[in-house]
Amino acid sequence: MAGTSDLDVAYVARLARINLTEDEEKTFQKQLEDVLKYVEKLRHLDVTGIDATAHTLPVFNVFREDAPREWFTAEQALSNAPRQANGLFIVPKVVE
Amino acid sequence: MSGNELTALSIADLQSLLRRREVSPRELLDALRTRIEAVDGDLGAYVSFDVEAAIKEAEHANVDLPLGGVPIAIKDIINVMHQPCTCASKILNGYRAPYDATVIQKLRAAGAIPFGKTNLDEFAMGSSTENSALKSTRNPWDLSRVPGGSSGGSAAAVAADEAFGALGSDTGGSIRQPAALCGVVGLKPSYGRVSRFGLVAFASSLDQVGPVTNTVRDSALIMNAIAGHDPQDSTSLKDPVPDYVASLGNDLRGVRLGVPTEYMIEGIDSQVRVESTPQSDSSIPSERTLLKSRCPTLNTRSPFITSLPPQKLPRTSLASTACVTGVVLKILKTCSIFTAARARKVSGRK
Repeated sequence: MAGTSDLDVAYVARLARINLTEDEEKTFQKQLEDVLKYVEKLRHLDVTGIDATAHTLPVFNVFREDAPREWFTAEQALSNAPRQANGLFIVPKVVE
Repeated sequence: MSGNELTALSIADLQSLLRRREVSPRELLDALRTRIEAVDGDLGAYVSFDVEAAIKEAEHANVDLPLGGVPIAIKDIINVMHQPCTCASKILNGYRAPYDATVIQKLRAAGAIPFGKTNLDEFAMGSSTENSALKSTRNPWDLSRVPGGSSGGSAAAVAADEAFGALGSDTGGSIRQPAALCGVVGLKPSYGRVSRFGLVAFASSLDQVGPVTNTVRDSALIMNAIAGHDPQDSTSLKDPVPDYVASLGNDLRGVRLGVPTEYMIEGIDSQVRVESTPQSDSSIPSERTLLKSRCPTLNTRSPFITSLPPQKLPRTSLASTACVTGVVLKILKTCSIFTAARARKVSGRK
């Protein structure tokens, strides 16, 4: 795990395309460092003999029949789209 | 029977009235609406409710079904067709669910009427229902206190007779803790027992939908309706579902409950401490036996819940959280994952 001092909130905010004021950067820097310190406690756990577990049930490779079935119409699927055209979502350009 | 007397009834009592045609589902909705309009300005348990849609459903309700004609409040993180599903966040403003979650389909199939969406910590991330972006919910027993969270709206609505029963969701205590803080019954089903399809995810390997009710029987009635395998949720369990109502009243003699000593930390309510402290020698054989047990990893429970998804730290004290916690993590597998809060009726409830 990276040391808490490595956390660069301004950089993370740029990656997430969130505009933060300087004050907000300071606030979140402090808050996130606190969270990381808190999570640091997990390092002190003795997990010897405990298997890594994704979830609690012995359920693996759940497949269904590859058959067509009733599902959303395009109209239903697009019912919450802020903008749409030709049955497609229109979203802001994010990749230059 | 006055409206306030009606809204104070358990679901089980309501059913006999409904089936004897002494009250109609429409009258229940009217009584709820009156109650909500009277008290919810102070409580803030609901973020939206659609009376017209519910009345339409009430008109053709089949009261002979297991939950026939009974309105059930829904935590606003579960999709109910054509209703908003805000997750108590502003970023979902304007969204209307284009489908019913499986639990809603199952409630409808059992005759229930989903009515009203209840407040929560934003995207279920919190333990006080103060982290809602829409409004704070207050505790009906004392408006200066929090109802717990994140299913605080559901717990407060049931405790204040604004709902006969409700659905909540629980990842790391979000049903059990607000149920305890509001003095109602709350159950987190074992993971996989109830479909998560249509529940907005918090931590997918831990989330479960469960009931919040006034009585244990009412929770059993709701569990009978919502439990079971769902092909839409590949992590739901295929095991047969027991009849929860039929199993009520089973003799508890000989049942031993382990109480981790790690729960007994500084700051815990003295009455909770006394009532949940194991007696080494139980003189009354019919009483449940409390035994001391150990769960040394409990004190790392909060860092776990914080590290799984990014989450604000709980604002309520660790003590109140610890007394009802029980996270379904492998490392904590020795702990019970159930903590049904026992309803404690306090005088001066109304």
